[in-house]
This record gives sequence, structure tokens and C-alpha cells, in this order.
Amino acid sequence: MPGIPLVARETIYSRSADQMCRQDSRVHLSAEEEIAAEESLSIYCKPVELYNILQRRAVGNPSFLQRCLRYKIQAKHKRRIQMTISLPGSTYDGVQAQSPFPLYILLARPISDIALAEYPAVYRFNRACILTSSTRVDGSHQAQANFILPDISKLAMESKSGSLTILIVKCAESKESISGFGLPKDIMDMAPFSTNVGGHCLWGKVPMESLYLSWKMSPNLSLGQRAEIISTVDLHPCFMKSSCLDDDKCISFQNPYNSGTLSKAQQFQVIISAEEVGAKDKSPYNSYTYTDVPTSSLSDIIRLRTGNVIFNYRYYNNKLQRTEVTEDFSCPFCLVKCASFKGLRYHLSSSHDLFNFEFWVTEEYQAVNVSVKTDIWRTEIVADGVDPKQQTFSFCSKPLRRRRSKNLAQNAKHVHPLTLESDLHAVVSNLGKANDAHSSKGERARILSGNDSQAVPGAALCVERVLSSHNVPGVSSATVQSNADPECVQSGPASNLAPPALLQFAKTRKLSIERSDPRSRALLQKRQFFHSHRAQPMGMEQVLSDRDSEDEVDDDVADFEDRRMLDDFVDVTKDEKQLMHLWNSFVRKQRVLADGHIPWACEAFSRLHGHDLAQAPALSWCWRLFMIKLWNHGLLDARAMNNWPAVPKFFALRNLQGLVLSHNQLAGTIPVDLGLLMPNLAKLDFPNKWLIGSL
Amino acid sequence: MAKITLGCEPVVGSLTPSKKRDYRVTNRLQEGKRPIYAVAFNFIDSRYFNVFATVGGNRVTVYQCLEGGVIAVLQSYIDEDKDESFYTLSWACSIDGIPFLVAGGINGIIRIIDTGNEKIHKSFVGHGDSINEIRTQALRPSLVVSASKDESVRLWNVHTGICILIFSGAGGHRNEVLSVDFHPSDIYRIASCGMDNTVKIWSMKEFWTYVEKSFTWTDLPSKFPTKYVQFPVFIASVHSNYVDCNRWLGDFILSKSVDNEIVLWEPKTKEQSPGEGSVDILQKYPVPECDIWFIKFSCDFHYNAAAIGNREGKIYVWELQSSPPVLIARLSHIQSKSPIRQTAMSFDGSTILSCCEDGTIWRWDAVATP
Repeated sequence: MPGIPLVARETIYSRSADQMCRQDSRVHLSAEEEIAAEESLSIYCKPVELYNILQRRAVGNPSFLQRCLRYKIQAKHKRRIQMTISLPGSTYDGVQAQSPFPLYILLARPISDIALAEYPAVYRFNRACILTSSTRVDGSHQAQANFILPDISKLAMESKSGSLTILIVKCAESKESISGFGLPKDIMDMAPFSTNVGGHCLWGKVPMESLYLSWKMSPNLSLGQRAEIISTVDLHPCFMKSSCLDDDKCISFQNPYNSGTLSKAQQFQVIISAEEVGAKDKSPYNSYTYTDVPTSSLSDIIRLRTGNVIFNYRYYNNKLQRTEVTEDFSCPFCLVKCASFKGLRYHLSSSHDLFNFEFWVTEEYQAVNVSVKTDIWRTEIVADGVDPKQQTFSFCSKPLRRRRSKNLAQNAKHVHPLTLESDLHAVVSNLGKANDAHSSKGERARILSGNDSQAVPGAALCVERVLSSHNVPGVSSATVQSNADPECVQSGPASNLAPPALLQFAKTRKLSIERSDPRSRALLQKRQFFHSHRAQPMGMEQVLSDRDSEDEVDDDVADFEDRRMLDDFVDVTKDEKQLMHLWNSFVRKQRVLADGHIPWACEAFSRLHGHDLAQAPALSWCWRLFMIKLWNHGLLDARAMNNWPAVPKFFALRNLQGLVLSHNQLAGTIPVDLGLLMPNLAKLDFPNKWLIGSL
Repeated sequence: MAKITLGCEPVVGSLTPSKKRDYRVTNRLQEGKRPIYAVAFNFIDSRYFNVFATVGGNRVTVYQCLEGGVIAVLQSYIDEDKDESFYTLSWACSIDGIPFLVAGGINGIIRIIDTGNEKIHKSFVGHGDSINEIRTQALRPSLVVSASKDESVRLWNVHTGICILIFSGAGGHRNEVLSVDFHPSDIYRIASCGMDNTVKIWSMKEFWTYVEKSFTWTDLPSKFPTKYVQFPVFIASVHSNYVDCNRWLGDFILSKSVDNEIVLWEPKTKEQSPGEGSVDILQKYPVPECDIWFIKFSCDFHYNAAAIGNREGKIYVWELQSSPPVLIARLSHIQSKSPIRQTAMSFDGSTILSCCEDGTIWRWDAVATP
């Protein structure tokens, strides 16, 4: 297990603070007990192995929780600075001749900095903060403005280029106008900045460069403490004009020609303080690294650093425990950093539910007690000596459960996480491709049935099972049923529905015939048997053969009748009828029964009739419309939609250019732009009876 | 029911005999105590036009009509099952021209009797219930069609013993099929009628390949890909009760129910929509006291005349192709009181046979008009 190992020691139930992670000397165990203890520790191996597999798989596609936690960590690493601007307390009291309020504070970028008579100084800004006195009627007192600045190194660049300035604006007439009209607060507050207005005002600026330099000097900020500067600002009278274009808000200041009419320049002080965001939550231990700590005091440090979490692994009937420590709230199984103890908690319980976790937090340390869940194995783990291939998977597994409870406890040998079976790997990784899980399975099934019918002529039913694991959604265990009749092709998806009961039946039936018990054979020969459909007497060889016509469909007749039924439609074109007919007979022959079969069926249909579709553009157009209809009904997802229409196109292309592409290149060669197809949909009222007729 | 519009009323024949032809009883046979349900002349083979056969109980008998009202028994076959009761028979022949007699009844087994070699040729199993009528395709006399209580009609090849087609299913009859007939010229077409009060016209045009295939089939008959024909091309509701006999008269159909009349009507199929269509009732041939079911009429070879018995043992002979219909003769005999199940007209209509419920066979011969 990763992390820093501590020696195995006795489990402490008292959980007193210093016992929790004390390096106890080992309990005295006999040699046999030690071996048994070691063996019991190995129950961790298989689940951990499973989680390693899952972890590898999650690298490319992290879970939602993992992504959230990652953002948190990233945000932490940014070390942004929060800047607060306020006025010193003395100025509140009306000591100054004119109350400075309301005062607007802006963090702005200059566009043209030169404030001459002819050329106004123009700034762009995002947000204006207003400072008001506490005398407001509604009691809302806002005496400080907060801004978030990037971290100190970025700030250095910004301030050097002079691209950031703090502007302080005091509107000359605003006070009168505000009190006079009694406008709602929100409107009047931002009135000068939110609309394209102009007016006389006083303004001053604090360049960011000076601030940055003083912050850099102060040791407080780098240590995560508050840095405070008192700065004096000169306010000059000017004519202010603000313009608001979309999100781009600009403000310009122009020196008036006649400065006599305006109020005089003013001076007052502001307090500017800065602090790293989230610094309060951090502990000073974080800044230490292991390299400068002597190993002897390692355990103390381990317990003191905030990101460190102690993991106690219980084993040997919870008698013993092994301890390790991870940093940065990392998970010991998959090494994922979890940002906080809370994050770790969520991660462990959601991603590693083969274990039990107890979370234990005190002021000094955070610890997790881990033990292996024994009761949930039965659903995912197959007992020793049981070949999973021989096993029928079903939801109800009572006999298995009984067996489990017998040798439950800590018998390590019986712990096999399902995914560790080698052949299963292949299947799972196949299915991991997810997008064509259905299609690949269907193909496989077809190939199998094709082979079997040739290779095993005498066999009644060939049974093949594809195991599925719980972490691949939507894929249930598939049983493939192959018929000796080559014209009857059973599709994979259809066989998904075959219940285990049928399997049993198939097995027993096959057995009875294979054994060909002379007595039952004589019974068969004794009387006449009749064909179930045409009631014709069967020959002896037919009786003894495995052919069963009970559920067979006469495709010729069904095709004929389907065609006749379609002929009755008067509002359908010839091509549409043709496609309906092709689809209906395809659906019947391949036994497309459930909604889930549709993606497979569409692909297979495209392949089967690709040539014909390419020959007849009108037909292929109908096919595409039909797929859109399926998509409308939610039976076909957009990706499949996008991929399968490529097949007829591909055939068309090949015809034109004589291209030879491999099968693998088929999927996704030419994506079809749905947007191009959609506008036509409104015009064509696609007949719903297609679906009704075919499904 | 067919709607009759003004000016399109069917022509009803007058029951006054025209005395065009006169018939006299020339012979009377008591075959047994059991009712005789069917009698038929052999129209398939011109050598045997004077040969007829009857079925009653488990017995099939072949007779020959000789001069002077003499009836000679040629062959008699008895089914080994005493409970068998044959309802129908039809003449057919093998590809080599050997006359076959095809009979069926309550057991649902069709017996093909090779009368040339006086042995059973084949037995057809397949029908799930009794067989009500068997007819032979005159253009291909190896093909027979059977109507059964199991609500199906089956087409068989007597030469190879294959069940080629089954006319039943979604569009099929909804009760016993009582009668079936081949179209005289359109080889694909058959008409069937039954206890669901309908007459259905079927086409086997799309399935004709299977019919041809049945002649060359050498494998086991049970392996033949028998096809179901589920939808008729025409369904007619002409009658409001059991329809127990129908025959093609050209493209028209003669059918009867228990309403004391035979009806001649024209099926008018619509080109666009198969299965639908209208019925035009052309003529009616009244038959008094003919109100029980399972009384079948018969026609001469050229369908000039039809003879039908009634519940009281009388026979009405109608001229079919004249309008209004002319009653050629009304045959009655003091001793003929038992219901006549079926009649048989000879090739030229000069001899009429009737088979009765009481097991008698009557022979009527036309009296040469001076």
C-alpha cells in the first residue's frame, strides 16, 4: 500500500489521542498466529488490486467527484490576493468639511492615461464599488470595497506595466440629486456608472505599482497574514463621463476649462489591506517539507500537517492494525488528492466501497480506520474453485450467499473481485469502448452462431455466455442461442432476453438427445409425430433430429403479407414502402424486439442493405429519415445516428472512387450533419406507422 | 349483406316447370342404412363419364351407369375404421392418368383410392377435424382442395402426397368450411364458403411456385415447405346463414344457404384494395323446402343445368345460364321422401342421381322428347 508505512501494531479500541497513532511495540504473537495474521492481512490485496485497475481506467476519464476535488485543489494553489479598501474611521464623523460619501472605488485599466484639457483620460473597468456612510436609512453600511487580485507574481507583471489602477471618484452633484429625488438605492448608487451619463466630480488614483512594492516588502503577506497600507489620495475636480457598451464599461475624465466653478481639490486617506485568499484556513505546518525534518520527529510532524491523514488497516479479526499516512488528503488506494478531509471522506465512501471506513478527527490529527467489508463480497466475488464461466449470473444468489456466510469471516482465498478474472478483462475492456458495446456484441454473437451451426451439426443449442460486470451499465449477461438452421440467424441483442431458465432447459434437452436413451428413443418411434404448423406427419429422422419448428416464422409468407399490407397505404411513396418492407423483414428475421436492439439493428441494416441503399438515393434518403424518427423517439442516440448513416455513404463512395477501406474505418468515416437534415423534417410528415408497423 | 339498389334487383326464376326436359326414375338402390352424403360422376376421364361413386358411412362405392337404367357396382372400399363417416368425394387422377377417388369425412383423413389398381394410394393427414368437401382442379387433376371443419382449406397434390398450401389464418374462415371450388379457367383461384356465412375467394398466384414444386418434390412430403395463405382476395357476405355449397359459373359464383334458393352473384374486386369489394346479386333459383344445411347441388359438365334435392326428397333442375332462370324440371317420386344430400348430373345432364339420408340412391333419366 502506498503512503508512509508505520509498523503493524495492536488495534486500539480506546482511541485516546496519543494511542491513535502511537507506534506500539508489537503484540506478542506465536509464530503460527503471525502467519495467520499475515494471511489475514492479504485480504486487502484483491480489493486493492481491483482499485488499481479502476484507477488506471479513471486516469483518462475522472469521475465527477474527482474533477470537483481537482478544481478545489487548483483554486487553493492559485493563492490569489484579496484587497480591501476602506476609509480610516476618523473621516466618518463629518470632521471633514464635506462628507466623502458616497465614494466610488473602481479597479480599472487605463486606455489613455494622459489627462489633458483636450484629451480625456479613459479607463475601462468591470465593477464599481460604492462606499457609503452608516447613515443610510436601511442601515446597510458598506464602508469597504473588496477586490480579488491575482497572485503576487502575476500582480508583479501587471503593476510593472502599469495596467492596473485604483480609481476613487466622488461625484459632486450626486448628493443633492440623490437626496432630492429619493431614488431607490440600487439605482442611484450605480447611476453615474451604469448609464451613459456625464457630470462633475472629484477623482484620484492609486497606482498599483506602489501598492505592489509595499506588499512585497511586507513579510506578512507571504506568510499568509494581512498587509495594511495607509495611502493618501489627491482628488482633482474634473468632468466625468461614463459610457457603457455591452460589458465593456468605460469612464473618462477631462480637466474642465473653467475650474473655478467646481469644488476644490481634496485630499484624504484610504486604508488598503491585502491578504491571501483562504489563508485563514491554512496552518503554518504546510510550508515545511520533509527534507528539513529529522526522521526521528517524523511521526510528530506527520500528525501535525493538515494534509496528512492516518490510515489504520484492521485485520486478523480486527485484532491487528497496520498504519500508514498520506499527505495532501490523498487516498491511499488510488493516490488521488482530495483537497480536504471532507473530500477524502466522500471519495473513500464513494469509490472504495469494498472497505468500511471510520473517520476520526481531533484537533491534532485526522485518521481513518479501514477494514474490509466481508458482507458485500458475495455480489461481486466468486468463491474459489468455482469457474465463473460455469456460473449463471442472476440477481438472486441464495445458494451462493449461504456458502459465503459459512466461510465468510476472513478467509482470504475466497476473495476474488470479479474483474480479476483474466477472460473478463477482455470483455470488460471491449465493452469499455462503450460506444459500440452493442454492435460488437451483436457481431460476435452472429459470428458464433454462424460457426456453431456448421461446426456442431448435432448440437441442439450451443450456449455461449458473455460475462458482464456491474460497472458497465446497460450490459447484461448475454446468452447466445444458435440454431442448427443456417437460415435462421439469431441476433445477439435478442438473446439478451433469454432467461437462465431457458439455458437450463436447453442443456437438459441437449443431454437427453446426446445420451439417446434407447428407451425414450423407442417411445419416440412408437407413435406418429406431427409438424406443429402444417400438421403433417413427421418422418422418423425428423422426429429424432433436433429441429423444432414450433416457433418458426415463414419468412416468404411473412414478407409477402407485409408487402401486401404496405400496399394498402395510399399516402406512402414507393421507396418508402420498399424501405418499410426491408426494415420489417429485417426486424422479423433478426428478432429485433426491444428498444435496446435498435442501435445494433440500424447498424446491421446499414451494412446488410448498404449496397442497395447506395444504389438508390431515394431509398437511402428514406432510411435516413427513418433513423431520425428513431432518434426522435429516443431509440437511437445521436452518436449512433452520426455513425451509421455513414455506411450507405461509404458504399456510395466506394462505388464512385473504387476505394477499399477496411471494416474498422467504416464507423465514423463521414459524419452526417444533422443540422442539414433537420430543416426538411418539418415538411415531411414522417409516417408513424413505420414504427408501429415494424415494432 | 349485399345491398340491392333500384333497378339492380336480382332476377328470380319462376317455379313453373318449363317441361323442356322430362326425367323419369329408372332405378333405386338401397346401399345401406346409413345416410349417403355424396355422389359424383367422373368428369376427369372421358373414358369413365358413366362411372360414378358414392360415399356413406365408412364405405366408398364405385358404380357404372348402364343403358336402360341399370346401375352396376364396380368397386367397393370400406375404411377399416368403423366410425369413419365419409362426407365427400371427388374424382382425380394421377399424372399417368390412373383415376383416383378422393374421399374424406369425419376422421379428417383424406383417402386417395387408386381405382385403377384397386388399392389405397395415399392417406393425407393434416386436417384437424372432419372434411366437408373435396374438389379437383380440372385443369391439373392431380390437385385437390379440401374444406374442413378446422376452418382451413388445404391444397394437396395427390400424385406426390404433398400438402402444398393452407388457406387459413388471419383472414381465413371463422367457422367450419363447408364447400370449396376451383375456378374453371383461372387456375390460381378458389372460392370457399362455410359456417361463418361468408364466401371467400383466394388467390394462389404468389404461391404457384410451390404448387409447381410439389410435382417435382422427391423428399419426404412432411419436409415440403407448406405455406399458409392467410388473406383471401375477396370476402363476400351474400348470405345471412351457413353457406353450404358454392360453385363457380364462369367468373360468377353460385352459392346457397338455408334460404330455399341458390344465388348467382358476381364478385366485384377492387384493384386497389384486395380483400374488399362489392357483390352484385344477379339471379336467384328458388328451391322450396330446402332449408336444412348440408344440401349440395351439382351441375353437368358444361354448367348448363344444376340439380338440387330438398328436405322432402324432391329435385329441382334449373337452367343456369338463361335469364330469367328456367326451371327445367321438378322431379318427385312418391317413395322419395328422405332429404337428398347431394345430386350428381351426368356429363350431358341426361342422368341425375340423388343420394338420400335413408341410404338410397335414385337414378333419373331424361325421357327422350318426341
